[in-house]
Amino acid sequence: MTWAWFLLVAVTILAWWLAEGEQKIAGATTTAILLTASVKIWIIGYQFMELKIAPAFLRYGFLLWLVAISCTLVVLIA
Amino acid sequence: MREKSQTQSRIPGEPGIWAFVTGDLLVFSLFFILIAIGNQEQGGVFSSARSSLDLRFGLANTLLLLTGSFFVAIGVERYRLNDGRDNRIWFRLAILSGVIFLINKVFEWNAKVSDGLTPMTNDFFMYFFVFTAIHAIHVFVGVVILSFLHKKSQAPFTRETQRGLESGAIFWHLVDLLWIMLFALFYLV
Repeated sequence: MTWAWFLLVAVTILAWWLAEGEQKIAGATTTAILLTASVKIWIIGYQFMELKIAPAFLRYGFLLWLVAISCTLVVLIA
Repeated sequence: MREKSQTQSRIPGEPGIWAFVTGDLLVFSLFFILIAIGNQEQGGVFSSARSSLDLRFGLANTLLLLTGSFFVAIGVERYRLNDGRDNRIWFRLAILSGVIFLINKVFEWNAKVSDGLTPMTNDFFMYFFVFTAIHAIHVFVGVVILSFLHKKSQAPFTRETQRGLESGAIFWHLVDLLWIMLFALFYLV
């Protein structure tokens, strides 16, 4: 549980650093920021919402939603 | 044997909470897509509006919700351990994180309105005020739910109470994960 929180905070700081970066590489930076958000959402779902113990349809349903929305946002924004 | 029982699959919380989670994820997905389309069609306006947001508010609120989620997860785990220890502190800390989030949000909105930036300014600020307000209502409801969990977490262990605690916690984590994407779309990209 604690590792999940540390990882979430670390990924948040990484995304903040990417956003504040002096040399933004437009598309790549945006993609990286959206991917770090998706990773955080997966950690929250898997660890805190306990999808790790949930039946496959729930776990993979959540993952499917996450991949679909992440890809859509990357295509639209990056 | 112990290992086997730990790896048994089950639906966390009440099945109904997952129907609610699914509906809310779909509604917020629409919000995310609207922001992304706005960003695509009015790149200059969105980029300029985004740079007027104070990233420190967003970052502080993200860390508050992540930490609040962590506390709630510990509270639920401690309840399941059923070792007789008082674990209400974890729910109190999570409530505190939610209340500070809301106070922070009010300060941020107030600062923007004082600068003449309102939902009428442009599409970015319309989305910003409307979607963060809808999210803030979720945080408020979450704080109310956490207050019930705080009380329930002292009750003797039963499967029913365990499922109730898990369901309330799942709602709180949903509030957290929705903010993660709003934070990325409004403040970071």
